[in-house]
Amino acid sequence: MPAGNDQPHAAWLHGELPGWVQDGVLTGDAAQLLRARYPAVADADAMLQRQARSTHWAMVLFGILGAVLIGGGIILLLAHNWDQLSRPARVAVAFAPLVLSQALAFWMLWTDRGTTVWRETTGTFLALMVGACLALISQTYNLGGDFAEFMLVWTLLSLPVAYLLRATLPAIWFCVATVIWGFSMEWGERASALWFWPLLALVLPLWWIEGRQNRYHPRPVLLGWAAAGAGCFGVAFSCVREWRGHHWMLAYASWYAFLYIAGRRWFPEGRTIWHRPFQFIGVIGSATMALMLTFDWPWRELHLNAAALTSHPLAWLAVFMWPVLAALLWIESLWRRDLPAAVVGAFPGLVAVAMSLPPGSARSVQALFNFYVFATGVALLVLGVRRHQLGTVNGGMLILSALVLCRFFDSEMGFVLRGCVFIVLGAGFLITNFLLLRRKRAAP
Amino acid sequence: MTRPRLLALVFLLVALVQLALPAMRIRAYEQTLRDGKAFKFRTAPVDPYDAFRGRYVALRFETGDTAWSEKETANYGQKIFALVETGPDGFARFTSASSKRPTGGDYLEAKSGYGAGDKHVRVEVPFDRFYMAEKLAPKAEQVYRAHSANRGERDACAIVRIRDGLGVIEQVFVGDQPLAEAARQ
Repeated sequence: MPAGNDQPHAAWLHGELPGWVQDGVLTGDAAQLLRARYPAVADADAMLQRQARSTHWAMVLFGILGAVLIGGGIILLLAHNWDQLSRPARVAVAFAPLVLSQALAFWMLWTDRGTTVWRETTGTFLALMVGACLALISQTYNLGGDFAEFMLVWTLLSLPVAYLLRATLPAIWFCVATVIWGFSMEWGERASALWFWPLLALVLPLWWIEGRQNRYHPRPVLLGWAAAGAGCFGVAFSCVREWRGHHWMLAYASWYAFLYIAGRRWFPEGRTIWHRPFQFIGVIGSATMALMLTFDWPWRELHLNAAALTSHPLAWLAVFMWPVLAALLWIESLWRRDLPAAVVGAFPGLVAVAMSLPPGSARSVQALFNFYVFATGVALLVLGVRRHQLGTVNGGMLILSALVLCRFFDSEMGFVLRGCVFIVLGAGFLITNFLLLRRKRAAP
Repeated sequence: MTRPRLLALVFLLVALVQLALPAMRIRAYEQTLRDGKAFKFRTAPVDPYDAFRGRYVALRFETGDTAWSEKETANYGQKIFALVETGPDGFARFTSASSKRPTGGDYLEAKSGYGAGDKHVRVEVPFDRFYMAEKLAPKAEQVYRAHSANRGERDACAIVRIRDGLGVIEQVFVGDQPLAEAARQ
């Protein structure tokens, strides 16, 4: 079998073989044997297809970039504020680019001629022109500075474009814009930021439609990154009010655990990190959270006011939706005997237990999370060694190293205790290394 | 009907909504500017830039505390309706506010500001920006500040047309000159 980087040579060989047979350099049988030995025809086709795909995606990207630049340019031109223009003229200027982009989108849909490049480009441009139109109206009529409302109207008017044109960038913009909307809410209206989740959920059917045939296609993958990334901010919006403030640990731990287990459950065949947005964000988030909780400060002043959660109809939902979903998925992962999912999925449970302990248990809680992170690191290390998976071994080492680093700078622990823990850990690393090397030498 | 045609027709509906929503807003603003009653609001001193909507002069209004006609104290950011009238000094003032839309009189839909008490509320008016041409805005800001600063002439005001709770700024004056003209001089 030719190696991946021999494919151009194999393709060249297949191109030369008929000529060699014709010239009598080779017999037909020998040529056939060579073809069987270097089966490059399919590979060459695949290579050509890959080249075509990359050219296609380059065109899509350039198209989007063009639309974004032109759209952004129009927004900036309008922002200049042409005060020589009368109000009717300004209204005409506000609607002209919008109507133009709508006409283009309609023609594409009506004639069914839209390629991916055109759909993405037109969709992006149309979404931007909706914003430009709203901005110019705000400017013409001196509307107040309620940016959150401006963003909300813009996102809601642009989202159908993503669905109808099947364009991914407007949908990604929608995810980003929901985050901007959440951030631009005024402090007094923060309770309304809970509507972030129903708003973000509006993009999920499109993600499902896009991923129905191939969930690892760039479109659903990109949308997956955008939605999961936006959700990370959404958890913060759900917990900003002082009465929900201390539930952030449970909400975040559950959100990351949910992402990780859902990723392992429904996207197990992603070849690279790029194809596994949920696992990646979930595991990095869980590890970071778990390391944070090994410190003293998150537990120092923990005030939970469950009664106050009832002050908004969505408050309970926002804080407890992810713990419930993560717990359900975790039980299912135990059933499937998915060890990594079971370990990460246990994290929100531990957080819930720690939060329910009486005040003054900060020391025991810290010890619990130190043990959890340590045990997870060791479990990954052992699993990686057993299955000969270097990535898993490295993951385990990384977690253990991060824990060591955190404890080195932790002034709460005494020097003697820290010294002993470091020596034990160091010895553990050396023994693991020694055993791995011995096994490698013993292998035939 | 084929699927692309159906999609195109649905898109047509979406496009209509995209056009109708801004158009309806424009209609309401235009009606207010045409038929709304004009009120002169005294402005007070207050960096004016919006990436999407351009440069503007930030306006603050001297409206003070207004009588609150309900039992429960207004929350910050709550939607309120403030009755407005012209005072003996010729400037607009709010007479009372409540969370229910008044059935008569001139009123403004606004939000409750910080510092609401049992019997009073601070009306946060929705019009706090006056957009200006890019080059003119910094100069206009200077002129506006000079005319609204505590030690200045304090003769800056905004003419706001109000109709059915909607307020639209018609013009900002410094002395007897529109702000843009004063900035050009």
